[in-house]
Amino acid sequence: MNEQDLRQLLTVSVEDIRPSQPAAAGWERARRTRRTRRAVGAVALAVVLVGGGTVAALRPSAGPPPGHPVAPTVEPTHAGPVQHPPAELTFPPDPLARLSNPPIVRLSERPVQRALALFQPVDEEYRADGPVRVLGDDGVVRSLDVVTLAPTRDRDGNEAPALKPGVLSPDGRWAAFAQTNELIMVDLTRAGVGRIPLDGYLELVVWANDRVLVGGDDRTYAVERDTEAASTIDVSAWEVVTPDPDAGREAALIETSGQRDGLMVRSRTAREGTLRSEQRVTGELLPAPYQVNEFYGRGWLHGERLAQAAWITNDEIDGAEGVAVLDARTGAVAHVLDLGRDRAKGCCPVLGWDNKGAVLLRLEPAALARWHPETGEITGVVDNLTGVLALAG
Amino acid sequence: MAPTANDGRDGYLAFVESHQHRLLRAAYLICGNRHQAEDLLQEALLKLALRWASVRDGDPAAYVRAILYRDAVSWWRRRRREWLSAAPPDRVTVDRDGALRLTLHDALGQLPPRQRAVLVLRYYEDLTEVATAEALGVTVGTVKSQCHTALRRLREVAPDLAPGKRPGRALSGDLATGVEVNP
Repeated sequence: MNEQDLRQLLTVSVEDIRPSQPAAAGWERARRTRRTRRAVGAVALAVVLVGGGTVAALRPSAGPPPGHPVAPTVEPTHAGPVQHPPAELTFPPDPLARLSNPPIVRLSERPVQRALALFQPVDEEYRADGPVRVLGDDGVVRSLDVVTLAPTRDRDGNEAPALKPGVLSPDGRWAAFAQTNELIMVDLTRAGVGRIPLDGYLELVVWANDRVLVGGDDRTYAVERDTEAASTIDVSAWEVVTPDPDAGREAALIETSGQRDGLMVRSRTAREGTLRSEQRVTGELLPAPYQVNEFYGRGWLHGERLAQAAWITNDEIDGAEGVAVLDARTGAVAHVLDLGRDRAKGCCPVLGWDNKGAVLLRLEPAALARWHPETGEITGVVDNLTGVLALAG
Repeated sequence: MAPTANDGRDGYLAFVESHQHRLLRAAYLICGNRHQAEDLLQEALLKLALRWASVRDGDPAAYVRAILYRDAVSWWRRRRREWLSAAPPDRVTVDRDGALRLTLHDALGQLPPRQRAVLVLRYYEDLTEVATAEALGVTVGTVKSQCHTALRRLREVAPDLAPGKRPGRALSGDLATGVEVNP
């Protein structure tokens, strides 16, 4: 095969691929996006002016603050299994809104008692753009200055910011960062750093009780937080679901994998990762033609309920964006949040659950939203936050 | 490109009309699925529209190409790994070119996303190694090594694409005598 040959092969192989959207589609979407941003900005400003700022909203429980009646965009309805987001989210005051502010102090100067979230701004090319922000439960945003993080990478050289959903421990006291050939553990309460040498292109971190599961394409380690003892474990760092923080050390590890008819939920033993059971993910509770095609991003457990972003089939298209909540024991999908197709691919990863049974998820253009699957209530949490976000449990 | 009275809309539309076919085809070559390619293109064109005022006087083609390719690579990387080898191909009509397309489609599907992107930029978009590196945000050395590896892998997984073994129509003259690709 020579160069000219390859050029011709590539050209011929796509000669019947033609755009289905008019040239004006992008321009019109941009116009709507600008309008939404302006409207949301106006609402946020109005909330600040009426409420006198967000300081009063800082509560560890993240519940609605007194004097700030929360007006959900979607009224609770005990909605059916398929739900839709509102056209425009409202953003009641929330402690996490502080993440929009730049850091005012270094972590080394003022460690946290508990972090609510970590945030890494990224540029348009999805590269780290500024220091990692650490939001404490005192409402103060710190810069993570005790360690310099390199991008994670795989064998092929593909890179990503080291901060990813799941790096913050459920109690908000630790952050664990995968790096090539090491795991970095940051004690956020002391601003202390521990480095644990481990072989391989490590990219992903999951907190499982007081252990950290860290791995990449070809291996996963389980590292004890307190002793730093490490051993390999037979789970996939890409597929393992973040356990419920209230589950014990011996709670099973759950994985999701596959696609369409091969979409599975697996249960593995906590210690060795030995396969215990395997269930097909089923959409029998969903109205036709809804189904979950494939999961993406990290899955999160809350009791036996598992929430994870997915590509779904809805009544318009095979390949819409969505979020599914399913029973991790049976694989039965109980709720789907249909996010349509008019969003970026892989737009809306799940970032966890709150303590009231709501799913926290990313929504474009740069929002964090809270979805109550049982009621259909959807509210905005933070807007205009372009970057990577990790939440405490 | 001169600004117009309608806030740049006409210039944007003219740009999209003239570039979207090639961009969509490039996206398809990288991700192997028409719906996903369309989504990637629309996302890149949205970003372009949002920044049209600042990029229209520069090189909007390079800007949107960089977004498209980097989104394609990073989005693909977020997907499950088995997609690299087990993704069901789009249904392709098996006409006289059908077998060729399926073979190439399957072969590209066995390459990591960045290698696919390098091949498409170099041999479909006809960019230089320097321009390919700029589009992907990597070094020229990375482009060279990824290209070399990708071509070797392509020859391994798709020997049927070699001259003389290729299904469907002949593409050029005596390709068997052509010089092997120089990484």
